[in-house]
Amino acid sequence: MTQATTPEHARLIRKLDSISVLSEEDREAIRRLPFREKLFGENQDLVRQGDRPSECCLLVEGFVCRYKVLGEGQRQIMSFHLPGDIPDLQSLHLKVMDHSLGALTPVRVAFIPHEALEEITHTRPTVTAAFWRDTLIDASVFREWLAGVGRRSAYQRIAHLICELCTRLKALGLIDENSFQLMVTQAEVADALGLSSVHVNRVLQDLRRDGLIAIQGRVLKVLDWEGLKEAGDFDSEYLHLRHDPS
Amino acid sequence: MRLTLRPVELIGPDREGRLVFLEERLVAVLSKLGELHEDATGHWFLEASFTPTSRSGAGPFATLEDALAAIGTGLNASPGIR
Repeated sequence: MTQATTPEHARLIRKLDSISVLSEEDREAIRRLPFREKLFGENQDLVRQGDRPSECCLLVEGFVCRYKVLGEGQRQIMSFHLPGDIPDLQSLHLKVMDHSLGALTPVRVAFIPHEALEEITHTRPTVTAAFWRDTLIDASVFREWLAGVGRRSAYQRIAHLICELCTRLKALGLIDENSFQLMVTQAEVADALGLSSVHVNRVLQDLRRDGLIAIQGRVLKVLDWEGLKEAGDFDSEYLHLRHDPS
Repeated sequence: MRLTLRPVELIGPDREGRLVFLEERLVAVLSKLGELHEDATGHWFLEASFTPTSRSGAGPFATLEDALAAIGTGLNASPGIR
């Protein structure tokens, strides 16, 4: 009997669809994955550095970041995660968390037991390849961010991040236009891009002045996509999407 | 340790600045944040620091004294450069 698609499974299928080709049997196996749901408030940790998780968290609603806290209490955010992502998929093989996952907004998470994920990776090679591809893309995104933090100007880094978030949100079917709800604060952008919130604030004003973006309340709208891509030195190749949504 | 200040005009939205000297040597550049920065308006921001242990981009500090204290701490932590 065909399993009904829950919103949780639909998120995961949509995400894997954006980077790989799944058969109906693969989708069916994903629909059978068990999970327990949990809600987290803004700024709560889903998983902490040093934890030894026995399940992975599929993000269903809201936004999450990976981060580390350094000796002097400074935080470095390493990546932002969107619904459909499993940001701690690596815990299936790397038993101790070497960073934490924090909620940037209220989030809804489906925890999938490692046992069930191990089973699906043994029985469905295409799903295994999709998970592997996802972690490889993760590494590609880290390389892109490293190049940005090391060599791009504050203006380029912020333009690049806006382009990346827009492209990923579109690929997941979460937005249609180049416009999205700002899910991160200026301080969080600063912690992700190795800047201060003062610089982030100034650069956002510069991007507005240059006619590339508009910010109304909590909504950021890209006014000139090609201009923003050029300003951020952005090429979506590193996201390895099946279809470039831009 | 005596730090002295010289006013300076900066490019960009936050124009009011101070050059911070230890004797005749420049150790830092501070800016006073304008209205663009909402809650931090009037606070002082460490635009650039030339001591190895103070991080450019630190702050904002509520007062000039707080900013100078942070720069002084950075200088004390790296006595080799003085």
